[in-house]
Amino acid sequence: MLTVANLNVAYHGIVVVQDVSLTVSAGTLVAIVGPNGAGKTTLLKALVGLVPRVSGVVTLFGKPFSAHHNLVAYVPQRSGIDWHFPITVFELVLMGCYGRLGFLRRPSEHEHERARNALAAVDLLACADDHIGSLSGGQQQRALVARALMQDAQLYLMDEPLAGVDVMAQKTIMNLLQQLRAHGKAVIVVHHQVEQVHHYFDQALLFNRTCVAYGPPATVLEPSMLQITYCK
Amino acid sequence: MTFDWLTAYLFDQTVWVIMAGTGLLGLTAGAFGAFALLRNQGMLGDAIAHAALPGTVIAFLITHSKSAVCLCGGGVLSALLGICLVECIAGSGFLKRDVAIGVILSVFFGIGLVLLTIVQKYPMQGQALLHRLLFGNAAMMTIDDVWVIAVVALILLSVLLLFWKDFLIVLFDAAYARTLGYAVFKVNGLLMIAIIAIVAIGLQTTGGVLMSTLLLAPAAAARQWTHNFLPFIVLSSLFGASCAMVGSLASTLIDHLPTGPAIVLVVGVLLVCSLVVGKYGVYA
Repeated sequence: MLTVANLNVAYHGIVVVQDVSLTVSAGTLVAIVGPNGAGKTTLLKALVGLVPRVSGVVTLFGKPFSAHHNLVAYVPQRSGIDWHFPITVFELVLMGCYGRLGFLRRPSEHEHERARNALAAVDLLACADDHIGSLSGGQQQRALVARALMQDAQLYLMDEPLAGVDVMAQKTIMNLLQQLRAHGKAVIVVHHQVEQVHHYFDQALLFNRTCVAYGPPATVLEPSMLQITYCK
Repeated sequence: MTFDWLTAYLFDQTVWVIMAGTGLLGLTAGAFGAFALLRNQGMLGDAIAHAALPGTVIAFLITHSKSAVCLCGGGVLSALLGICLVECIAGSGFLKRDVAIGVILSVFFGIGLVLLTIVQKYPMQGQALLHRLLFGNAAMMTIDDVWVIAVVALILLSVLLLFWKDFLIVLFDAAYARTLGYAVFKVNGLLMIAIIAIVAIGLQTTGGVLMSTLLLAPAAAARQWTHNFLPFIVLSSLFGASCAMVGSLASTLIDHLPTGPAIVLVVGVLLVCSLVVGKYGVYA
């Protein structure tokens, strides 16, 4: 489904992502694991085209990402969102369908129903009419995941969706990821908890500026590999 | 006796022309001011208003016309040039955006004032234009001016309704909008052009010095009453319209009271009240 070949990204001449190549199949959960400042967020942003690539090719179903905007759902870190913005949780989630609607078309009752379903999937239906600023950290994260669910994408890229989230919210999000995998979707998640990667994910990408190791967690998440990744 | 005088005044067609013109201006400025506020670009309106001044004066010097279309056209071109320069300077990375806005704002306003000294040499009309462009004078508003404001307001409010969700998503989360395939630059550009057009038509009513207040203060006041997007925009528009109408009415009732400061005082009182007693204000 997703193919990345020789991806390089640089900020002001400093290489942040170096020579990354990987493939992700449909129905796969991939965890990106690495220390702070390793360039994990930049890697995700480079995949969706939010930061310019110096070189490399990223294709989805054999075509460039720009041809598949509706098939890719990106969940940013919640710290990058203005939670004081005057919208309700329902309006936030509804934004997930804007890409498919295109210019000028408004969300209909069908999209409203889908937004309610997405909110129900993350246990936030009761908060639908609340202001986004009234949500707790875990709820904010779930709202962003619900927005991505609205896109009904094939590939989900999530930047630390479990960071600062309580145990119950973690469970909800992890269950959702399992459901997405069961429906044949590919999900790439930046994640810090190595033990969870063992239990829930199909592939692990050890990352520190470049791809240190990529494969099943049982083979990749070895102490020696983690040592190389975190002490690089 | 006083009551009769007031009744006669309120039935005066000129008063209704002024009220209609400033009301429409306040309505549109309030709506788009809310978007400017959400972009966290409070200084934007100020920069545009100041950058529009030289273009307005040049348009007068070339055409010798005081028609709203002519002066607005010059103002829009000049403001566009100013904002493009701000974006170029900020984009180059040599200066921060607020510094670039401060510099361009002052330089363009300075050029406008220098050009106005040339206009002052024109008998009478130069003095009047100077005063009107700096501090606004709704009393000079003609029915033709109101038509221009009405047409511009209708176009801009239609743009707002048509691109409602596009403005919303780009303002809230531009990066996410880009991943959905939105041309964020174009949506931002459209919003910028709309704000420039409002400032240009408002220049003669509230004046260049205070136009940004009509743009931002109603939105800031509305923000204290609601956390929802649609009510926020509607309330900001209504605040803008009512303050502009009350302010302009006061300026026509009281001799030598310029319209701009009168509107700013009214909207200022509303803002302070909203900040204190608003649903999400200080008191709450």
